[in-house]
Amino acid sequence: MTPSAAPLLANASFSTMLSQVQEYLVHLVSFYRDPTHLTSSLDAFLLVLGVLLGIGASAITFRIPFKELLWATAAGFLGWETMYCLSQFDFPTLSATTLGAFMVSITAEILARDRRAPATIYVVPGILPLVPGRAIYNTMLNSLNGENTLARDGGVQALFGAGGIAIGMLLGTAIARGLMHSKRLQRNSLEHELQRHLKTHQSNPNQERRNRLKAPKKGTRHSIREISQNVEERFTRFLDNAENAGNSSTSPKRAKELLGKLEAKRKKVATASQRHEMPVSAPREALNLSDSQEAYPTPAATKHRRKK
Amino acid sequence: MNTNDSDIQPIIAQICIDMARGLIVAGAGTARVEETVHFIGESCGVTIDSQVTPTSIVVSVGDDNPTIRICRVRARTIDLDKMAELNQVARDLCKHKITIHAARMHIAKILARKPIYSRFTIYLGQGLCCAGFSIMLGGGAPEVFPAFIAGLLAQYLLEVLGHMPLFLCAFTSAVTTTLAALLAHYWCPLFLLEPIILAGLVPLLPGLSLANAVADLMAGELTAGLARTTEALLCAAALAAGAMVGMNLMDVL
Repeated sequence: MTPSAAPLLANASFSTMLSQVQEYLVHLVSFYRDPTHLTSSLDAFLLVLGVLLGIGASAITFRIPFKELLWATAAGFLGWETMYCLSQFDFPTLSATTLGAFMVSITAEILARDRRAPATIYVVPGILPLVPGRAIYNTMLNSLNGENTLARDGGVQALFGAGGIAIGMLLGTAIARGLMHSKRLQRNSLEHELQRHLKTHQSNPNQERRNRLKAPKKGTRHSIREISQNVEERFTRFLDNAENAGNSSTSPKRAKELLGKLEAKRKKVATASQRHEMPVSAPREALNLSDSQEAYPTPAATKHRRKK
Repeated sequence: MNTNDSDIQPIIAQICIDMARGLIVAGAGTARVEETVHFIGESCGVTIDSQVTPTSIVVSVGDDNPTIRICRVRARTIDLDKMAELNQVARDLCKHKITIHAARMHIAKILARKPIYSRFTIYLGQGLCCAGFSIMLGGGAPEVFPAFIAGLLAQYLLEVLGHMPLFLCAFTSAVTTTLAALLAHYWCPLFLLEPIILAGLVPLLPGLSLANAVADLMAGELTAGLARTTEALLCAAALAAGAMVGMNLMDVL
């Protein structure tokens, strides 16, 4: 055996291995394609599994919050299921697509109100299986082969499919907004929350601004500047009380004590606000959408998540 | 009161513009963004008006002596997590659960944050997505593997080539998936060709963009609707061109 033959031999062994694998694959695939081996229920199961996998995985590529992954998959599956069942019963494809999109949209609106997230989250992955991909592909293929009539037909089908999806989504949104009568779902909508809030504070237009300066609830985070303003406001009230107490002269000693305390606290707040004053405008690089570090060097803000 | 109108207007404008930009970049619809901005203004007790298109945002706050901010948006992606978080901040702000300063900080933090899933997870997701859709589009169990590899490859190539315009992204992905599908088909002819190519192309199709466009047009938002239609058509054309180039390349080779 000459040394020059060695790579050839290696090539030959690799190609034989490849052909063996190929033979095995052909065997496997032909076994799968043989209809006597498999029942149709397994096929249906595979189809459902594939659709669920497709919607869920595409939701992940769109960076969906992990909590909503299951719900988005469910919404998308419901839409696809509607379309598939209708087309099995010889429904026209366009109407089936429209009804599927309608289903996705209305499910998304209900989920959005129930789970307090924007409806788009559930719509984006859910609409994917309804997109007329086959029609677009056929258009492309036919125009590549020079069959212009077929290409035109496919193009019209694709355009109508997209229009159908849009109309279904519009219908779903309109119905969800107009006819949603469930008290619980209404209460959760952003619009309703705001209106109720405005109604309760209508008597005093300055109430909103005052609300902003109220003592913070436990767990919410405010800038130091606001807190100091807040504290000062309360201290002025406290000061008035103290002076009143001095005037009525129940105990001048007590009044002096209170005033001393107040002074000490004021000094403390002043130093604190000097140390931690927030910048008035956010730094520009913090707003760029790069993978930079955290926006502020201050202690990390409480992670802002929906609480149920 | 320590805070007066001239003090608070720029802050509200800043919040609105950041919020609108974050939402548009994350892929929200223009009508939705305008609604959010409007709600924020109403809850803060100032008059507010906004004009949002997919490429630019204008917000004006206040009646007399208003603060006007303009923001230009150059690239849009789909990031549902950021959208949800920004929506939550808007909700809290409207209910006065948090102050405007806190809201501004939250928004800045959300915009500067890294994406929630790692790059590897996104590759895997794209691969699995293609695999699932290959079954849906008429394939069987055997087509899953080439479709998975095609999706993975396309996503990886996009990452390697870096940031590109939308047209080139779609084109490259289409070429890659088509070539992968054709290779698989020629290697073992029992792999069906159509489901694999379709599975590679369907996740890239601008379905939502087109649907949003029609919705915008019907709502009377002519500028935003036309812009989105153009984007969707361009993307679809790029996909078709990419698939054609892939097929022709395979014929030549």
